[in-house]
Amino acid sequence: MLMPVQPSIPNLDHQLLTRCVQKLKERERAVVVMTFYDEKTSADVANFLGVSEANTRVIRHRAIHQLRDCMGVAS
Amino acid sequence: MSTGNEGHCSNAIDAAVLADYWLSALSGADEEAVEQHLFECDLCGARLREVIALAEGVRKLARDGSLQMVVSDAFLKCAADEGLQVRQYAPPPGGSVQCTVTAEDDILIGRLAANLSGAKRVDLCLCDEHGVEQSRLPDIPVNPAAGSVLLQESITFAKAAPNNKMIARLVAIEESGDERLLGEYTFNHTRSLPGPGAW
Repeated sequence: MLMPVQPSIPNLDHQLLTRCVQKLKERERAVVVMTFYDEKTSADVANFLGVSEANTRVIRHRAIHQLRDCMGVAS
Repeated sequence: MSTGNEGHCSNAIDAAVLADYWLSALSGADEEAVEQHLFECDLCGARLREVIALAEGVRKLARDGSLQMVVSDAFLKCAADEGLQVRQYAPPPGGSVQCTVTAEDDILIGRLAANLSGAKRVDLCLCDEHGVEQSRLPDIPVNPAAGSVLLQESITFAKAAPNNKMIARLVAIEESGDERLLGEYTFNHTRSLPGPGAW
């Protein structure tokens, strides 16, 4: 039987998220903030970091996994 | 894109791929595949909502100016376009600047001018008034062409801070592991908000 699935972060703990974001490496933090706040493309972020777009995507993926781990919602 | 069997979802989509989907960063075929899967999978739909919540949370932290991090000029432009009040100080290398923060400020920036060319890795050291390193941001993102590093200090911290002196030091890390000083910048913070004059 299928059960309705609720989001695991219905009320995001912003203090925990702050600590988790500060725990990221500098480049990872820059990537997630530029991506989610500035809504920058991978090309823009790659230019700022001085790395390739593919590398930017790898950094973004790693950062998202680490944030989810830190927030206790990793799958 | 799949991580294998998970609960009642036999082909769960990785959270980072869902973030790519939300950012419209997938190719047409991959986007279509994710969309088709989301139509049929509550679990991945819930995970997508988690990813969006996380992204919105990061966006709020950035907007609150509460992160200590290196930012870009594009970030400052975005903040200014949003109507945020950006306070920026730019002490010259080897120099100092008198600074403060007011209740109206949203973002606090130190612009550290330096010749960054040739530096493979740059660390930003934050030191106390005696120049003793208290913390370090290792391997910060730098754009040699920009000729400066923009350090965002947490506005929450700055608004709570009493009078104090902070020394920021940019160092290049050579392949040998040796450090080369790129610039040192002193911020003399005077508290202008009501509150304690010392820690």
